[in-house]
Amino acid sequence: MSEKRYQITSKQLMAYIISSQIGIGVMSMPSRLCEIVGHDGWITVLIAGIISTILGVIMVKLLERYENKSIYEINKLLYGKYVGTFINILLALFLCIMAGFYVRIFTTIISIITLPNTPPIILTIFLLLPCLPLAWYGLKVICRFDSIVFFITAVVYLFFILVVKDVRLTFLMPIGQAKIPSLIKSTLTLTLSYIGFCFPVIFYPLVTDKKNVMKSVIYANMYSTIFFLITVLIVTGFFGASMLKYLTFPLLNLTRSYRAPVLERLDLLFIALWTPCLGISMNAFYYSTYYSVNILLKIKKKTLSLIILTSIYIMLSRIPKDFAEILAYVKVVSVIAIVLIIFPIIVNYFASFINKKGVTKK
Amino acid sequence: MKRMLLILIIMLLLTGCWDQKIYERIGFTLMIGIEDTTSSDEYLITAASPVVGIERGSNVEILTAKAKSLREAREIRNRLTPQLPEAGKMQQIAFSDKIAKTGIHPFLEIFERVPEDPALSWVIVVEGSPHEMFVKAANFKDKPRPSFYLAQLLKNSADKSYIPDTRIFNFDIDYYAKGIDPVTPLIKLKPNEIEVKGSALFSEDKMVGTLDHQQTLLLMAMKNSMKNTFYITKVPNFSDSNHEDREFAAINLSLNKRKLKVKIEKNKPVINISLEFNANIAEYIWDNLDDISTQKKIEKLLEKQIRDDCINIIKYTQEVGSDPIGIGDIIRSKYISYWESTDWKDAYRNADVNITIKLDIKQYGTIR
Repeated sequence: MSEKRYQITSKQLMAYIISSQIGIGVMSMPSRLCEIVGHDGWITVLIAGIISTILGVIMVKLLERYENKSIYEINKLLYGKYVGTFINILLALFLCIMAGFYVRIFTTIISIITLPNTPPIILTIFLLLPCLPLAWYGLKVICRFDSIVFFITAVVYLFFILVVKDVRLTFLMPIGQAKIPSLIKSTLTLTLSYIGFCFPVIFYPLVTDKKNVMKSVIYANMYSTIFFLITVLIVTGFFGASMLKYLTFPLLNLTRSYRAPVLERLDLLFIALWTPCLGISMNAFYYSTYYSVNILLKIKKKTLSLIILTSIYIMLSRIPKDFAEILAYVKVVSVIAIVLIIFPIIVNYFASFINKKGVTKK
Repeated sequence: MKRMLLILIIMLLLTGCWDQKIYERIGFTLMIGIEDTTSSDEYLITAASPVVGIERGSNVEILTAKAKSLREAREIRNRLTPQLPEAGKMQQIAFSDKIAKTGIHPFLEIFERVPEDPALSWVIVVEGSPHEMFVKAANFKDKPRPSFYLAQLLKNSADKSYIPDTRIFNFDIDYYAKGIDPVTPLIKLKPNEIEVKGSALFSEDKMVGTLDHQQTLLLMAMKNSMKNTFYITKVPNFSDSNHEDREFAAINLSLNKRKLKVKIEKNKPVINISLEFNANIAEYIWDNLDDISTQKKIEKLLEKQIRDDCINIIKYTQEVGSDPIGIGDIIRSKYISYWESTDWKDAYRNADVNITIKLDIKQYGTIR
């Protein structure tokens, strides 16, 4: 997998991280935060942004110690062949579950907002179709495609400028009403929105300019944090915390509440614009699993693994019965993400000072 | 060639869309009217849709159903009309004043829940029966189709601040915000037209009072959302140079600045509102408006009149227990402990109000 078509620059890595964080992550975020911390959701976003950036820095420091290795190789070096492989399989398994989970969230959102009568299985298959050629052509093409996230967020920012006059500052006050335990609890709900910053642990060997990875991770996290922050501020200031907590996709409700001259219903445009964003968000997990499985099992026949994996994603995505159950799963998956991805990054970093096998940077 | 064939096959396969809606088979419901019936749990729900087709002219199909909810009424209409009723282009949702007094929020739920239904429809209160209004309006010879007529009428009136620009989402936001009460347009059916009366004041989702269109424009000024409009008032002839005994003036008002400060004094809210207007004299008497002292006299008089009107409006809202300006929300954001320790509805009734008006006559047209 070290062919040129798989290699990316640090800037492309940034696009990959941002696209994995923003698309699906922002859809229900403001209302989930509002349920726990009321109108202080933006404080949580800031805290989560800072925490994930610090974790991102530790992650890159860890990767820099091993020069050209992914987490899968680092795990083997740190914990030996068997334990390392076991951890790697767990990680790949989790990514696979995450991918299935994201496929389901994507299809559910599309089903709720545009195609309620289309059978879910058909919707899933058709929404997954664009991922197949992207995965086939490799990481570079995916990252190039992911760059549309910048265009889409720019359009959303323009929209925010239009609605900012309807934002009531009183809806955001008094600042700091939320108690610290609820702030911590709400930070955990953002785990999945931010988890994308961890993707360099998988793709680090494919980055050509490794010295810039640190910058990319920090910038990507900052970009997503600013987008989340502005979204939460605008949406809370527009609807008020009392109404916001009832909304499933507040950003969609915001577009439904804007009277655009000539266009009339801006929500239809927003759906068309945001769907690719949801798609690339899902694709980030889709591809990282595919890549991990190929690396771990040393698969040569990529078409076969692509078809098998896609079928697994589809099956996994059908497990939650409804949207309420998906939201319940989010909590479980968030905890697993912390245990299997975030926690090992910190442990590995410190472990690399004890077991120095493979460490190149002293 | 093979590739082209593949694309063609895929295109043919992809036509089986489950969510497609054929335009010709759809009846776009543009207006919904809700009023009470003799039964306590049923409502008379009237829907108006345009009938499309060259030979149909500007016909309107009006369907009435007795139902417990809007969706039930739509399903009843489904069984009455050849075209599938769709609410995606809904323009107005009209409540009779009688229903408005009992609470209207539950009726708006469907428009927020179903993404294809618009949250941008007008919420209006009709003095009398919406059903009667729809039926009569459909037969107005010199007016466009009812929903277009009403849409234009409401837009023009909102542009003059004679009514609040209240859509479904505005109503919901104000309903859920604890210190703000919704306010909606109020209209009435006349023999040959529909009249915009002013606004209906709500407490939560129950209508508790009404304001006329002149009071509404001042309320809009206090809400900081007044647009350029006309204020008709009594102004005596201050100059002796002309002997006209006309005593009315039309003033073109635009809001320059609004300051709203709220504080708690002796455990009582004190509301200070300051409004700055620019005014152009649009209609008055001939002569003497270039005289600065006459202008000052008119300014002082107008300031007093607007101030008195504003105080009366606030006193009225206090009496009926509606807080359309959102004073409560400002109190909540600044004095949270006071807010939590008091019942806002009671506190608002006893609040002291100070209003200062500054009016500056900028122009008086092409005659003195």
